[in-house]
Amino acid sequence: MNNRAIYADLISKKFDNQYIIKDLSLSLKKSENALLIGRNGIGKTTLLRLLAGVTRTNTGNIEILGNPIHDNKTRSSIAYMGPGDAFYKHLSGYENLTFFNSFLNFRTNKKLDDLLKEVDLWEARNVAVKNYSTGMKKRLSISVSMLQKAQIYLLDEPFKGLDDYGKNILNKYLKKLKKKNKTIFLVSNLFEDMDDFESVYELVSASRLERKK
Amino acid sequence: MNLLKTTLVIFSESLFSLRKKFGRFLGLFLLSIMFIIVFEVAYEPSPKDLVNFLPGLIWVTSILSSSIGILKIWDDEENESLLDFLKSSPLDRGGIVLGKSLWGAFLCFLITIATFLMTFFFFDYTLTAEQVIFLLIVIVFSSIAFGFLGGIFGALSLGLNFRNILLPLFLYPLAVPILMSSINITKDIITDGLLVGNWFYILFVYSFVQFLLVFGLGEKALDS
Repeated sequence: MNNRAIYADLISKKFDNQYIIKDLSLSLKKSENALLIGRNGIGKTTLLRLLAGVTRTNTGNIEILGNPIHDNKTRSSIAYMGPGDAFYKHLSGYENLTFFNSFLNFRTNKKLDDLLKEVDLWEARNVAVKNYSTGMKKRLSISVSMLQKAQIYLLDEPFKGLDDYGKNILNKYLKKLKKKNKTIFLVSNLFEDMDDFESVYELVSASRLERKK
Repeated sequence: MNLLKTTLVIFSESLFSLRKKFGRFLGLFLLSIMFIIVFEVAYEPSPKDLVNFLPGLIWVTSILSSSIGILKIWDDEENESLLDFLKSSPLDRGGIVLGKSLWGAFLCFLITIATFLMTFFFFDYTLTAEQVIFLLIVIVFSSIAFGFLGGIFGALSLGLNFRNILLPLFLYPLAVPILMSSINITKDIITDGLLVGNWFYILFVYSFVQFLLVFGLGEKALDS
């Protein structure tokens, strides 16, 4: 039986005729939690966007749980949290969460309330996201990730912009995911404790991904 | 999530957002009124001239006002992170473009209806029930053609440099067939009470082609 959660075979991606990712292969098994590190601008975000199916590879193919990535059903097994603020800024935190809930999971309003309380945004639930601070937006991103019932969690710089309180919330969430045997692939340069991860990869260049642990 | 459900999700989000962006919609509506008032004050047509004059005024005004709205329908998704999130979600990508295009068509429909009402009010022109129904049919087809044109080109131009300049440059020349056919059909309806003619076929085929473009190329447009 196929035990691979993510399988990327010789994938390449180029922008303006320059390879950002070139002939890279990667395999993560189910329930593996891995950290991806690397210099700024080396292509970590591009790699994660490829694995999330946001952008297409120029060559090579990606399989998620044994299925091709560019399939609506396959994408429902991925929870992707990008590095930026993926919100409708004129809507409030609660309205954003309600909208995402309408196609991600159809959870009850009570559950949405609980999620906002968990990330400490309950008091600010009716405030437009454009008025949120960086940390608040990040916590809202975490709540959107919590909303999803995915198998694979692709998290790009989730700690960036969070204070100690926010980091605590995120660490608790990551522990929960690990307990539930979810596959986690986290990109970060800020993560101090690599011991928390089963495996650590470093993207050294466009064509070299080294396993450090 | 299938195409139809995604279309509904995206359309209802846009409809819900209208509450928050009502000022923008009101601005488009006021722009239409301003055009009509300026023309009425500056040029007082005789009843005979009115039938030649009104269709052009109405359609140029509503296409101009609608285009400002159409150019803004992908504004939120210009935020790359939001677009990435939507693309990584189980939403059907073709449905995202279809939902936005449908919203664009709805916006055009509202603005054109408002422009028609205001024009007939200011120029004190009355219509028969049959003429009203025929005009509604023309407005529906022209809204689909223009809204879907804006939807697909808006998706294609996402992430492009100078998008705000390039998009109108593509959009306006392609809107000429819609404008010409709508003006001529409206003139035929007002003067002879006729709907179906060569211009109607042109508008029908053009809106159908736009619909097929969005349906067939929506996913590819978003991927590009």
